[in-house]
Amino acid sequence: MHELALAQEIVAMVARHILPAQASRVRAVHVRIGELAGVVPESLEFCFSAVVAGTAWESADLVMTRVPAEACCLDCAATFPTQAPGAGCPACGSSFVRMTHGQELQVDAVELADDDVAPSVRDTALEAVV
Amino acid sequence: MSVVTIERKVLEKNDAFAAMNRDALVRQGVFTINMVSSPGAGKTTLLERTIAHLGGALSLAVVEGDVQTDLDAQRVAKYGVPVVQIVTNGGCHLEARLVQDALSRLDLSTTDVLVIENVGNLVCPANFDLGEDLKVVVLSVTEGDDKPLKYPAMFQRAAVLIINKVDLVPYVDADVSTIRRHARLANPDLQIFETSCRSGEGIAEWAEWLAAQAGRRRG
Repeated sequence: MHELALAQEIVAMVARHILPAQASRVRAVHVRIGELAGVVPESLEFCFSAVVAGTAWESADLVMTRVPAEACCLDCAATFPTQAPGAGCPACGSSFVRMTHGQELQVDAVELADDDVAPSVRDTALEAVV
Repeated sequence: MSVVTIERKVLEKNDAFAAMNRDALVRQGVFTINMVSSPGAGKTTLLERTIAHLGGALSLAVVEGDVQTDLDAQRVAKYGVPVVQIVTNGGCHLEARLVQDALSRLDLSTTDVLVIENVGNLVCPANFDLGEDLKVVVLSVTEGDDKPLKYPAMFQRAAVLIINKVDLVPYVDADVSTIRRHARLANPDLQIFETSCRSGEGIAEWAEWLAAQAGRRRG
């Protein structure tokens, strides 16, 4: 349920990084979400669309890149992909492992439509391509 | 199409408020814990026992976070401890800015230990730094021994695990050694205590550990 707070933060952060005049040109927001970040992608997408509804970026997409979870063994220093704690180190069998990736929660970039193309024209063109 | 690179943490604003809180708390010599758990794990009762045990030895203050009501604040206030209630009105977690408002209503200069009792929720509060020194996750034995594996984020971000309601162990299928093992798989560095607020078991050990941490801060 905290996805709503995250969606509001994402929108606020993007707004801080673009000029007010660019708001109507926001086409996509790229975010990086770790598999263990405690974020449900569908829920974040839903909340994002709710936050931008009725605004200039209503048609903007939230593009999520999932970061796989990775752990490091505290005994032999091997790094390995893992879905959840409890699996142990595949190299030496130790159960003392620390998660090194998978908790990311970051806004990477925002895509803006070109200045000289009216949004409605652009959307039609995109639909034709898809 | 043009791209504006941002590459900033989603929660950087919350983290900035948390850093301000931490700075203010550390500067005034306050040791702060953020208590997290599922609803009903026993955070408030554990807090009551902790306050009762530490008695006049330490000066405590409490920030209570709840979705609705000030019932917890009323319970804690009976012990003569300054308490500020934050009602989130549906919000599933506390955020650093809410805690900053609460801090302005407490006298930090006379406080040794601040306990922030978060909203009962084993998922969302894990992401939100409040400015605490450490997170204390409370897990009652009735919740089952698989919870550290099913909700790893909270256990990974906590420094302390309190296994509560150990008096009920004979009546439930969970066993404490399995909870310990699963918790250490999630976070090998966890400091673990076992408590029962009914029998009083383990309360002294936990409360005195907390007092020692606060003593180190005060110097």
